[in-house]
Amino acid sequence: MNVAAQEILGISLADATHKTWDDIARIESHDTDVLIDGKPLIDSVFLNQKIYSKEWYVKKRDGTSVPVAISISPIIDRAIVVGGIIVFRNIEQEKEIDTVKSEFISLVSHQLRTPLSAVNWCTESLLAGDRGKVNNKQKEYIARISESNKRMISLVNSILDVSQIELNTFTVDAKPVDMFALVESIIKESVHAISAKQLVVHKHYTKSLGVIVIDARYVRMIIENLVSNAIKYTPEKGNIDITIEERGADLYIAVADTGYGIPKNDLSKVFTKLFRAHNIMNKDTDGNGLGLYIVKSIVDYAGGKIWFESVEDKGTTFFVSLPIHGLKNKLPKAVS
Amino acid sequence: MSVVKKTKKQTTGPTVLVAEDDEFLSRVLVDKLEKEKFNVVTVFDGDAVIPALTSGSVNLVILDIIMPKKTGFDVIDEIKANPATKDIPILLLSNLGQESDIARAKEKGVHDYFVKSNISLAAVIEKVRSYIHA
Repeated sequence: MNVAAQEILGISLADATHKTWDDIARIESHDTDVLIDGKPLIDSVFLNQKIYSKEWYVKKRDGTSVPVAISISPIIDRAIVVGGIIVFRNIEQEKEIDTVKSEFISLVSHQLRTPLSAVNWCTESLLAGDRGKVNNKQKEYIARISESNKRMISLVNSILDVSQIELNTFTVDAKPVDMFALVESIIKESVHAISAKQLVVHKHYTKSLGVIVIDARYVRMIIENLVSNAIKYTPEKGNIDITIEERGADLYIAVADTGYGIPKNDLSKVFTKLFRAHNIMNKDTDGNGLGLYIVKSIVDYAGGKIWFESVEDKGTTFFVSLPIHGLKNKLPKAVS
Repeated sequence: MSVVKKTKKQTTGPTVLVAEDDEFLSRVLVDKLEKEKFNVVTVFDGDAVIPALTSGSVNLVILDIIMPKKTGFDVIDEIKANPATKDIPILLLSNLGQESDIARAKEKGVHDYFVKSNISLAAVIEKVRSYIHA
């Protein structure tokens, strides 16, 4: 045991000599011993002959805990485990910085959203006639305020998503998700925009999609952004095809439109933050150039792939292949 | 001193408690609830929630998180710890929208969580109705 380990564990080399790891410390997650498939972590390292690396807590003999980035490896000699090595680093300070980052995003989001909520609810109330009759001209103006405010809300939400990505405060909370219901709810939310442009949506997915254990928030963000782009960048009476399939261990998503397409010169910049294609700059679309950057970041985080095919003035198809395990709760990373 | 206000027009409909410190936002929400025939009790800080709940028959709580005196999270703990109030549905409406905030609220047992800027008044009413079957 080196000096750093003695300092973190609060034990001297002399005290630790001839003791087992369990006599010195415990490896915990959420105040309970870490178990892999129901077995204690150290036993699993030896039995499975694998390396386990993760951020956990080391509970010292005095009862206090220290957050650590830890890696536990077996020492294998001619196929027999003869011992093990535990390497860990105190990440208390990193955790504190993460907390500060997270609190900052919380505060900013709260302060930015509060005035937008007031405008949102007031315009809704006025348009519904809750505060008395409004004439058609007034209605038109209030509707414009409401639409602009919604665009601002969407921009703030996108900026907050980007902040979470860039500050690396992503967390994954996987739960059983009814995929059909999820996709249907996204389309339902866009129904006004779809009907306003008389677009025809072809659905290539069925209830047989079933229930998948995945973080619905991220899958929703991916599909929502792709569908919203297809609506924005397709002229009236166009078509949108949405395909969702489970392909082996992957969730396959394809969103095709008969829209403006992406000019050849812009193809390489599609996933760049704040990118807007040249051919839509003069059109009345309300994109903010963050959607595809967010989608790409989530897909990369999950270890998936995103690609597209586009022909200017014909349309664009975005494809996503998302490993379902990539958006499950992060398990100890096992290296064979 | 915490202030508790009751709706002007008592109806036979269910009662909703609105705990929201922004007086203007509170008024807009209360107007909508009253228009939809709910009785409304309003409070403007965290301390006032439990007294308001225990002194009347409230069917649902709409709760903000960032409030003076006590946060919405602490208020949820109090509601859940009190046998007289623990079964009252709680709908959190806050402009905090981080996953950690949502997860924390759900772990504490709120029925739903919505980011205020992302939900319409009509959708709030729909949710309230769905939880109290009004």
